[in-house]
Amino acid sequence: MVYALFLLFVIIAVCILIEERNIRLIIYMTIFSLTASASFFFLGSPDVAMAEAAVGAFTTIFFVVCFEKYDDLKVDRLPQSVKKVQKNKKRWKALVLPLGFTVLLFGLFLYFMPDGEVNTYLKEQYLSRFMYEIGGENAVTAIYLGYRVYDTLFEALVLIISVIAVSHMSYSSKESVSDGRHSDVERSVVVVTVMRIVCAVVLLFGVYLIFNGHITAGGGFQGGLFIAIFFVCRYLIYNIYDLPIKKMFRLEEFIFFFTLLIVIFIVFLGVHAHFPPTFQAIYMVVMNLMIGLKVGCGFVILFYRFIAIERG
Amino acid sequence: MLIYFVLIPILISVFFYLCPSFRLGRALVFLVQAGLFVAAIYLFVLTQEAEVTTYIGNYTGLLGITLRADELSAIFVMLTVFIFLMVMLYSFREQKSRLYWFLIFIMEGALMGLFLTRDLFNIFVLTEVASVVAAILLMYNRNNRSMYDGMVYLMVNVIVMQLFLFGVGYIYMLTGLLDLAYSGHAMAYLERSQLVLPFALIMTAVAAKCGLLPIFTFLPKVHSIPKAPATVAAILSGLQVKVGLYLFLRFQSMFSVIDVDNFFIIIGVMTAIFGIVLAVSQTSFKRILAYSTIAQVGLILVGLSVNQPYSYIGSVYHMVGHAVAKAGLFLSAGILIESCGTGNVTKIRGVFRRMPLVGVGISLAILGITGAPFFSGNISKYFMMANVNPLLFVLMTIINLGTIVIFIRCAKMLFGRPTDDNTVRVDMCKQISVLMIGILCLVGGIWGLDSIYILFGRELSISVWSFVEKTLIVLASWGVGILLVSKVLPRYQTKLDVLVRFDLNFRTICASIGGMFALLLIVVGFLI
Amino acid sequence: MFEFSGGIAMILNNILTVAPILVFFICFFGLITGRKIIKSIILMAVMQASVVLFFLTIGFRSGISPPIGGHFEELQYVADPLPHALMITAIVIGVAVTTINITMLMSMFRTYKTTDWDIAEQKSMEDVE
Repeated sequence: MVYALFLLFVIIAVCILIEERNIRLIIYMTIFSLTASASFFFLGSPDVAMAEAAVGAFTTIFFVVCFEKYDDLKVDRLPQSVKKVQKNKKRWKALVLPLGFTVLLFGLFLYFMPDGEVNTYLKEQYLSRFMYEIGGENAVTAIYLGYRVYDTLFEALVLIISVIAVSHMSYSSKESVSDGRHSDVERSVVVVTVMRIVCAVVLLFGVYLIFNGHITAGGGFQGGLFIAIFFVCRYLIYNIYDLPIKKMFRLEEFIFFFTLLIVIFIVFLGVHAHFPPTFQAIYMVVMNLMIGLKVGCGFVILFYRFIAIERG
Repeated sequence: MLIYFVLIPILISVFFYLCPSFRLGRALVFLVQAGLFVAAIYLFVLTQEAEVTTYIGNYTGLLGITLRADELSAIFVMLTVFIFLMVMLYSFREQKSRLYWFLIFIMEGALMGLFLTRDLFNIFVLTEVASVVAAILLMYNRNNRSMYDGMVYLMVNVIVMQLFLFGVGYIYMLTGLLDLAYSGHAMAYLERSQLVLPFALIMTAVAAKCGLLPIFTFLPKVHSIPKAPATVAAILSGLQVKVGLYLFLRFQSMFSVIDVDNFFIIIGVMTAIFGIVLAVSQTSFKRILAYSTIAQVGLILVGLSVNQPYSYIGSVYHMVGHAVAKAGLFLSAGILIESCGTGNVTKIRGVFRRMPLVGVGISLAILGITGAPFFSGNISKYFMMANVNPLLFVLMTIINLGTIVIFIRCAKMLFGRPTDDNTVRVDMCKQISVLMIGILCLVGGIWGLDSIYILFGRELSISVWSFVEKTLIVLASWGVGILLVSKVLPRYQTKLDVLVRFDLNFRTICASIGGMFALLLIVVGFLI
Repeated sequence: MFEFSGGIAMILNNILTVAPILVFFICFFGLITGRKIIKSIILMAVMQASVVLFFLTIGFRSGISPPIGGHFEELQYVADPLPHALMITAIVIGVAVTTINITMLMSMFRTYKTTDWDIAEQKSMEDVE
């Protein structure tokens, strides 16, 4: 199964490389992220698979909005420039040199690829120690929230910065985001009906991932993404811009601030290592909740900013 | 303790963003910054005794992330705090937006984290934070040109960091560790052929970070975006590039099995020459400064690769001195653009008459970089060239001559009469920050030996004869430089004008990343 | 799950190690030849996914189980949790960067009216100080 998925992975990458039409690019992107997600799952990593699946959904939305801006998406035909290129055989000659260069690099890479036993020192340490040091039954969450929580903080920070960047740089007027008006885009009945069913499942799944992230696969980040997807579904059903984006942004910052404080006082001061198991579980759940809320807020804001761009 | 150097700036910046009163927040920022400065000096004193190590969360057995400060990190932490203090002083009155202060403070946290961390993956995360913040700061004024350049900058950084991540993956696979020092130790049990690929992957990323020869064009471009805030250029050119060199040092000692000093000496010399040629052809002050940074990086790289203790000390001292002086010059470039309305060195005249303090600051910084006697550059370049072979000595002297030529062209604008009479009043805070940086360059030169003793714990001495000899060389270089600028250069001006627009597009930059990677693989794998 | 042995297993394992690198260089080729900015951004996202894939194949063997649940008897058949935790971080950073890139592209598109690298570069050069 993994091998077939890997082959598919390569094939889709080639498809993305040679495809010039935007709508097909988006479809390939979706297939790609699905393939990636499936192969992550079969590689023994449901956590990463979930993260990739949810993230893939959002990147697709963003790309759709971006293409929408060019008006390329609606007209599904090759742009003039591409036609010219296909007629013009000389351009293919210009590709030979880069192709040769890439093949050379690839060959060198493979030639020098180190072979040897995989050293499993850290793996064994983590797997044998995480249950009584951090708690929970999911080793990935234990590393994510315990051993390497320092990285997680920066990851959350990058997300906040990207939200800020999008709000700062997108040129649509700020009021249009949450004015409570319905958009005049026609909605398909099929979409609305399906979404009504899906959205409840998605919300439930997100909450489950957050509160059960320390025991089964999942965690704050994945749960937060699914909660954000719930809001996307909600938008698709009601077609309304009524979320208080500014307040949500402040909320996100507040949550980040308190997450930082929690981490400083519990983990970095070394208190965490002496916790009894109950407190460990509480710490994991609280951290998952914080991260989930923060990520959820962040992606909802991103989504709404992009929708605002599409509208204005 | 070390973790607070990273987390407190971030905590305070988020607090500032949420704080209802702007003035209160800004006061807090300055208070914290002053506190960090004291703490950095204290850290430096501590590292004199022994390395300071923090195991985050107290997990034993390298399961967590390790922060470690030795003397080198402590020096760079002090440098970072000082430059950010100056930058904040510079933008004290100018910047009223919370977003700006938020981003600047986060940048400080990320850079300090990079100097302190010893975890391979953490380096990746922090570099991404730093480059994302830098990209947003570059586009802070929402100018179209900066959008394009910022996009190229961010994308190149991301691609390079993917290569880095590949390298980290291989190191993790082979050694089972992510700690810099310990996986370095574990590498002793591996064969050299296994390490070639990780080395090439990581060094390509580091080379792009410091702007070495094949991959250098995107850095000067973003350093010299006209509409971007001057402080950003100062941070990027002063510190971000030094992060690259610092990582170079760290990875050099990590891959101690692979010895490619000669290769990097050649790359360094060529980088310096390219940087000088391109800098001489420019007319915009910011661009000249940006390309001269590339030239100095080449020079420092040569000094670090020579593998002599004296050169090492000289190079590190030059890294510090150059960071300070370059930050000052970029800040004063901001002042000049603001008050004269142009950044063109051929049009600005009479800075001394109009703004004496800024003029003094600029001239001190210029003297510091070019290595005039009694300035920090002189001491550092003296030790850098102390024990090198004659060919390299000549080359380095020529590079220094080139630097002098670059800055004589800039120095012209200090004298003469102002061409226009508009009298824009320049913010006093800005002038003071520029002046303080200039004075530091002077102090670092006059008490150069003492500061080297304080920084490195080595008592060095300069014999009178070699000092005189060196001074004569510098004076001769100045003479030749003035001659070149006044007589020879105008003749070739038309040819140089072609170079003004020299630029590589995104595709070529990507290809040059691949080129650097292939070059490293071939040189390390087949030739050495 | 299927169990392979002998020569087939070797070939299949090579697919595992080579495929991420192949995808990486396909993207690299796209980056050094492509003219469309948006495609470069997409290819970068694919590149990031290939690096994630590479990390997850470290120490993979068929029949591997996720590092979740109480008691691990045979450690070699449990996946390594560290790359998973690292890659979640890398994915988040990747999506943040992609978002920023798209936003920048759209703001640039607003005035330059182009999604072509060459034209955008020309226009940015004309946009002198």
